[in-house]
Amino acid sequence: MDYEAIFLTLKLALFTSVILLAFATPLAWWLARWRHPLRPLVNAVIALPLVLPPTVLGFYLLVAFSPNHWFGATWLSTTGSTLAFSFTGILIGSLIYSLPFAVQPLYNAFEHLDKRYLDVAKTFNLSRWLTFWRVIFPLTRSAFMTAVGLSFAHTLGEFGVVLMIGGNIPGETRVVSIALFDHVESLNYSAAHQLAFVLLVFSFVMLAILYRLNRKQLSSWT
Amino acid sequence: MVNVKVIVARRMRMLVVLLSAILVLLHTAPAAANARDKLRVAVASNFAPMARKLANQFEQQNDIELSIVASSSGTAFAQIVQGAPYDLFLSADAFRPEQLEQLGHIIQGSRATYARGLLALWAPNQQLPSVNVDALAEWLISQPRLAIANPYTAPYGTAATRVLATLGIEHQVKPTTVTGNNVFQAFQFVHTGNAAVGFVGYHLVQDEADVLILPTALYSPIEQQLVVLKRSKHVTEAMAFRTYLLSPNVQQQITHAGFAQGDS
Repeated sequence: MDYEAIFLTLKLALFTSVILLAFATPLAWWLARWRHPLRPLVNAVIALPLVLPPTVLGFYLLVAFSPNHWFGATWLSTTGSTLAFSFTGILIGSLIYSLPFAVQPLYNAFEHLDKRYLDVAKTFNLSRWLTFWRVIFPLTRSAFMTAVGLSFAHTLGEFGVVLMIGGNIPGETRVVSIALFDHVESLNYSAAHQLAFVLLVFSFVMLAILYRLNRKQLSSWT
Repeated sequence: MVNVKVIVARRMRMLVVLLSAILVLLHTAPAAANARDKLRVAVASNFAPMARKLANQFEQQNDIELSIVASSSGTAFAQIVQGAPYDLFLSADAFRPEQLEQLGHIIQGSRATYARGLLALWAPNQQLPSVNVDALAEWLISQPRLAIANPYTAPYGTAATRVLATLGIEHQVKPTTVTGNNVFQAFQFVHTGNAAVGFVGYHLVQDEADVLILPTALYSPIEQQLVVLKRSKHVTEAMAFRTYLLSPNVQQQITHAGFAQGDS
């Protein structure tokens, strides 16, 4: 069994979902309040990874990571290492790839949040931080769980982007989906079955837990 | 209230009927256009551009239409074993055609080498070493990033690791080696500047500068074999295309494309 690949995949998914949560929350909040004709365009950009083939995204990233490109060159001169074929590289890929899965549930929840709650919070003179923790978060908890769960699960299944920029390095960029693909390609079907089964069961359990946790809030809406 | 419901239901029904009609039309239309069957050829991606060119020539000379389906040899193999409707399979190796023969999926005696792949080192804007075992080994070790195709799945990757083993440096270069899924990806890593040097198929870089063809003493050229599949309903046509590919004229074109010739 490819424990190294499984561990790496979990690590990638965890990093991705946590970073995305920190990043997507303010983004979704701002986007939900922002009244501007350009809003549909920003929404479209965020949703792009949903429809673009991952290999396209991967190819753009590969070009951007190159030391011949300003982005890759800047990264190289500030950190001393290149992004392609590194864990940081595939993490950046995953963050972009899973961004809509984190932003959209939060965006929807924030948009449907009754403004009266915020007004009440204001009359209590609650700070922004407290307003978030005491008012906004409890009301939108299920959206947060969906955002974390979906970006985590989506990263587990990530393939095309990592394939393009990863370079298949064990322990660094060789995630489960890549290892699985290698097994299929090299006619090693029994190992492929094993790994596929683990991925299938894990993803199923995760999604089932997510729906179970969300059940209460969902039913209280309808 | 009731009226509204009835109207909505009627509209829904119309919509469903309309959608079904469109689906049925879409499904049957191409079938009518394709009344004459095409010869379906599964081709390893690395030979696909050449195969398309040769297929065009063949179509002009014969009254047979071909459709070239490019994928990795492993994917094509898996599809064929699962019953994919191909007539011919042009693999990038000899192993998978041999496997198909053992599994009884091919027309007996149809397995033949149509091209031999040559391995080259490509290092854009770099001074390449002389073709000398020590110089080559030292130069490869000094490279910050070395791209190869996947040694377990891609024949050009296997050949590249063979070269590294022959040079005795497979352990020294391990930390700097990155693996592309196939020889195209190894090419892409070098092309985008993410790897300084790569082991690629000579046919991919024969028009580039800074290319070193590796001596075949370091590895054995990659035998790319074809088979005609037993499932084919067009065995005569498939065998005709096979003969065409192995003909001296086509074999010469294949050498011009950067391969060594196969059996003829």
